[in-house]
Amino acid sequence: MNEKIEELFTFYALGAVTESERQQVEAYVASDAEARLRLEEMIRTTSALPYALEPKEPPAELKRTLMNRVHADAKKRFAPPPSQESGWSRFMNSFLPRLGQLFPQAVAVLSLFIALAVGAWGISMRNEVVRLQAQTALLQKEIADQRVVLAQLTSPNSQAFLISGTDHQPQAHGRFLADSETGSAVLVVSGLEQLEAGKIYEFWLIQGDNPIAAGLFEVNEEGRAVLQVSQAVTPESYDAIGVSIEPQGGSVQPTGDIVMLGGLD
Amino acid sequence: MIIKEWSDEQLIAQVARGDTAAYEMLYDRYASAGLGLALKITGDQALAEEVLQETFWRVWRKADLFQTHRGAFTSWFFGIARNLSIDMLRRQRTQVQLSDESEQLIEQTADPTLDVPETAWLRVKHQQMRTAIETLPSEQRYVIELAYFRGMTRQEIAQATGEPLGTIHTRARLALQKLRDELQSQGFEE
Repeated sequence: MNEKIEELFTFYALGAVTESERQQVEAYVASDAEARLRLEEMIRTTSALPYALEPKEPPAELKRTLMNRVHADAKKRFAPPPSQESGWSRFMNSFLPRLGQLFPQAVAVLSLFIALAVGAWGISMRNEVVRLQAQTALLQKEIADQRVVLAQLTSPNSQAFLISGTDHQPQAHGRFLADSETGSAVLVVSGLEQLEAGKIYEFWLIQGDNPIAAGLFEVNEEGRAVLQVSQAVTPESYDAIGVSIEPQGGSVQPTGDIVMLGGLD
Repeated sequence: MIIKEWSDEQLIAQVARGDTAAYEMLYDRYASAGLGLALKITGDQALAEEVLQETFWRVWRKADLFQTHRGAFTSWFFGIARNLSIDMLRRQRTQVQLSDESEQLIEQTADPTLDVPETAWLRVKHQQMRTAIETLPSEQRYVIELAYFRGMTRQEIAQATGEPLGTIHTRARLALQKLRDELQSQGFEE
């Protein structure tokens, strides 16, 4: 181990070395796998430093400009190779020369085809309108929910409580954020396993020995979920929080494995 | 699987194949954290936005250079944003004042394109990191501030603080150890 160079690791990870120091460190770890692991561990820690800062929403115009530039570049760099003659053009090229001979029949067939297509299009448009109306209603609800969740996450009155995985899922962890003034509360969890069909996670607010059902949730591919608790919560009224696995639809009392627990002290 | 559920690493692999939807998802996830970092370093909104745009442009153009085995996407992304911010800062010779983070709190508004679980996790990570940083003694925190957010070398930090280089080394090393332990105990996810 070259202590002189390893002393530079901390500053390398912080991005605070000179160019020649940077080269020394990189040459050293290139030939020492263990040293590289030690350095990478420090880099993992320093890479988390930006999370200490308050996120700031960029203006929408910035995203528009960037995406326009990216789309234009994507067309140039990832355009599909010029295709061979398509099936449709092959069909048209072989069909058109014979059209003169088949003109009367072709007109009749085409008229029928157009009438059917217009009818089908009308039906499909009506279905599409109904589908879009339902989708709009869902999106409006999602936006309303987002407002509540984000207000909760940014509220200065919000208290954060740790919730951790039990022996059943020790990798799980999360935060329960509750605002005593407004009564709103959000559970944010990560590291939970995806459940088999027919099962769902249920969140519990626990008073002494009495668990009170506080919402059902599923997790995404990465085992994450955000649950906005529908009832008003004052954290002082409860002793603990927990998450259990329940049959789809939930239970009145926990019946399955308790996979997460946390105190509200 | 829907695109919202893809991991950062799955998304960047798609970006390398020219998938603009995957790219937009990464933008939605990290634009606000990236702008927060750039603003902290440059101290100037216009410069910070310029940095953010250039950072994401590089993510697009160099997505094929990202290597999963070398670390998480966020390490790579924040590394680009930080280096560009510091380059910009040096070029502009902007005098940045040390700022009180609590004064920078902004109110976020709901956005129809916002990914709430991701935003929620960003907030949780923010709280975890703030908690971890608050455990550091002020002199250790100051060394981290000067090195990471001001782009000063260890020699420059020693000169600026009037402390011997060895002391700066010790403070930085202890600070990183403490941060690592704190983040581990909180179950911080990279």
